[in-house]
Amino acid sequence: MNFNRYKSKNFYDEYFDHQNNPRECTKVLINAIDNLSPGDLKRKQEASEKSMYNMGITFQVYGESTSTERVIPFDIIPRVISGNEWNPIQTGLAQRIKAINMFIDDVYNDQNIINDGIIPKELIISSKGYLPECKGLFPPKKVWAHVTGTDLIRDIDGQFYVLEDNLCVPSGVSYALINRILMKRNFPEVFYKSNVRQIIDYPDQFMKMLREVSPLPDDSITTAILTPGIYNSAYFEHAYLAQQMGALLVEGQDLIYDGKFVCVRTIDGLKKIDVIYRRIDDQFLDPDVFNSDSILGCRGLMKAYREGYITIANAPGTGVADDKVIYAFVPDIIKYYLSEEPILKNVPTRLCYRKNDLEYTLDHMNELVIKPASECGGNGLLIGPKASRKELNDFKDIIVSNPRNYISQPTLQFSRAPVLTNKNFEGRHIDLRPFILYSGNNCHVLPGGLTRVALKPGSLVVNSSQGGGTKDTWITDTNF
Amino acid sequence: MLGRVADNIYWLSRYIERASNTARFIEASYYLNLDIKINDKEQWSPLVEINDDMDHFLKFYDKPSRDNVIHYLIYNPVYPNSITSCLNSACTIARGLRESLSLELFQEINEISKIVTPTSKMNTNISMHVFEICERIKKSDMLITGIMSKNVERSLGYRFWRLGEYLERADKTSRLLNVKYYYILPEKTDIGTSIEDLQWSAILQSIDARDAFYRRYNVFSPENIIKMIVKDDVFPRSILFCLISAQKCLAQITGNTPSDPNNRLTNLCYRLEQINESEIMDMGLHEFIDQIQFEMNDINNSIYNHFSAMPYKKGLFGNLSDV
Repeated sequence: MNFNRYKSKNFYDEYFDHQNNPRECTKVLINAIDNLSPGDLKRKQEASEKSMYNMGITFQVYGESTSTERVIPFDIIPRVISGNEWNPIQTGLAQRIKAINMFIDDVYNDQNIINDGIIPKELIISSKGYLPECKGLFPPKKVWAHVTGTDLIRDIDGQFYVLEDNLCVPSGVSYALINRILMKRNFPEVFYKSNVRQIIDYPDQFMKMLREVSPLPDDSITTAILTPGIYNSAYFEHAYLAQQMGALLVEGQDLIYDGKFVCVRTIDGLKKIDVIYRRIDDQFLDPDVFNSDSILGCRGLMKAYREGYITIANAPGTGVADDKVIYAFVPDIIKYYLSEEPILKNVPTRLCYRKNDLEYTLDHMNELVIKPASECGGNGLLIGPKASRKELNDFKDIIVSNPRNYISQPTLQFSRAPVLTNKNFEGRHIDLRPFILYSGNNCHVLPGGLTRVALKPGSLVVNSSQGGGTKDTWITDTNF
Repeated sequence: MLGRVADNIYWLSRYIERASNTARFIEASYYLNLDIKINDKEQWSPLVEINDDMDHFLKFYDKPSRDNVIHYLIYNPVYPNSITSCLNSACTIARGLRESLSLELFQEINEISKIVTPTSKMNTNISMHVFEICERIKKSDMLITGIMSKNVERSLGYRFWRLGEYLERADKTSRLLNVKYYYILPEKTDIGTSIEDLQWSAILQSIDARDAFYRRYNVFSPENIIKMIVKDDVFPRSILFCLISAQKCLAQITGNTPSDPNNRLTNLCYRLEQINESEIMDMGLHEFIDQIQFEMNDINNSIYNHFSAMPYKKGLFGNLSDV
């Protein structure tokens, strides 16, 4: 196997520069792949997917009458980022999360950022994730976003940009952890020589973070992960994290409010829970406060939370900062709260509620990506260059009817990395989702994260529901 | 441990044990039918009778022929006690228990559930693969037991697993003994003849007790066989052995606290220790089995009520009345 016929073309390629010379951090790996016998890589890749299947790391695809199990495609060629390049990203993510947490806390309490005229009040209040029920709340250590899965992309200039923050219930970290296990099994030697930063302590870091935000500084606290149950597409991740962290995995039916604490039903009676990492949306947390039909949460949870008897991670109301209009203000948020220059860049964003931005957006629709402010996972967005005339016209009406809810960004050329196709290597677009744990005292950034890859040639859509796959992500340090 | 998790572990192990016992019964019956035919007829109905499922069976099939019974017991997707249904239930439960199962254990449960694919279609070659399938299920079950034994800490989860396993096995062994009641003997005079011996022998065989029987008893007699199957306290498939083991698990789960399931189980063990094989014969094997099955059912319900149903036991602050 070799990369002789592989071309970086007119993109930023993670493996080769524009002259098709290997980048420094990929040389060891390229050399190792060159020495593999034909078919070896393919066999390893198939074996890896088989073992994911046997481990039950699958999601259900529901058809009309049947449901089938599928694994998310795993590409065996890892994405490599040099440690030197990674370090500022790590610092930048920590900076960003710290500032966003201060922002959320401010929004629900003093509202200094509004009073000082940095962000208009009506923008914040009209954000879909803003919950008036959370006004006046002060979660332990003033942390709201405990776990974040920020999406980064690298543009054609080689720079990393923040695409979105995913502050509510980001998923995918289990794939990063499993991919790593598979890669170590497949390439122990290369892995060793490449000096890859470890990610194996993520579950421990996670547990440490949850303990640090517990209402009680107590060694005997009980932590739980709240899952919607086995039919949720991310159920494997909930169970895997619970197992790896040593947390209870609970469903709504296991929980009960005893007038003071939220408790779990054990075989010995009720046991109070101190910290709950929830993997259900705000709206389902507590039928007394939010969606009254919800059976996924627990009646009384918000009362216990308000009275300080339980910590909820991530805190209800965190979603206010997931709004894409608020996202555009994050550089200002960093300057305002930390008096620092933002280390990581945002994608340049125009906000359609501003008259000038709206006009520009409408005039340049066929060049821009236009996104609804409150959706995630690529729902409801328009990729201008790929849209038909009719789609553009229809979308124009949608924007004009609700400019507050739309933003526009230039169409970026996500960087590419080689993937293994039937016999060859071919370039495919990728993004990166690092995971950040924040407890107020400490901020842990998973070195690397989940690299998602758009497996269809030319596609920019990396979502697993739309033909995306994943790669292991190596942060490598040079040996001296 | 969560009540829901305890209940799920208990049933996960019961379903696997149930499937592998059914595989054993099918194998032993097949062997027996190859050796003896009564009035040129094979006897497959007892396998359905022992679960009291003949009415259900006749909704799907015209008669209890070999292929029909085998299809019913192995493949039928709507029969809850078929091997495929049991293993599917086990697999579904295992998915909801991932955080409590080791990866190796989960993988093996995942694999065992793929041995048989449920199908409502009758395949004429159905009987060709019976031995192979039964063998694989038994092996896989043993592997699962081995993983439990070597990898799992002896705490609550392990105890609930074993509790389910032993109670299921006690139930199945008792049902097996009931097979004898449904076997037809050609004529009255055949009692005590070699055909009856072959039937008893097949029963021993289906719980792998034949060798052990000859090591432990000199005389091949129904009394001794009943003694072996019901009352043996060292053979791991005898009813008393299973119940005593289950009782130990319960005691380890509840510690010194007296509980309803524990009391019931202790009483049943005591009665089995006291009764002797000729008293069982006098009482009638069938009646005896019915009675202990009735009691095992109560124990099963009592376990659920005690550990998992637990609507609103006293909370930490005893303030649950408004919930």
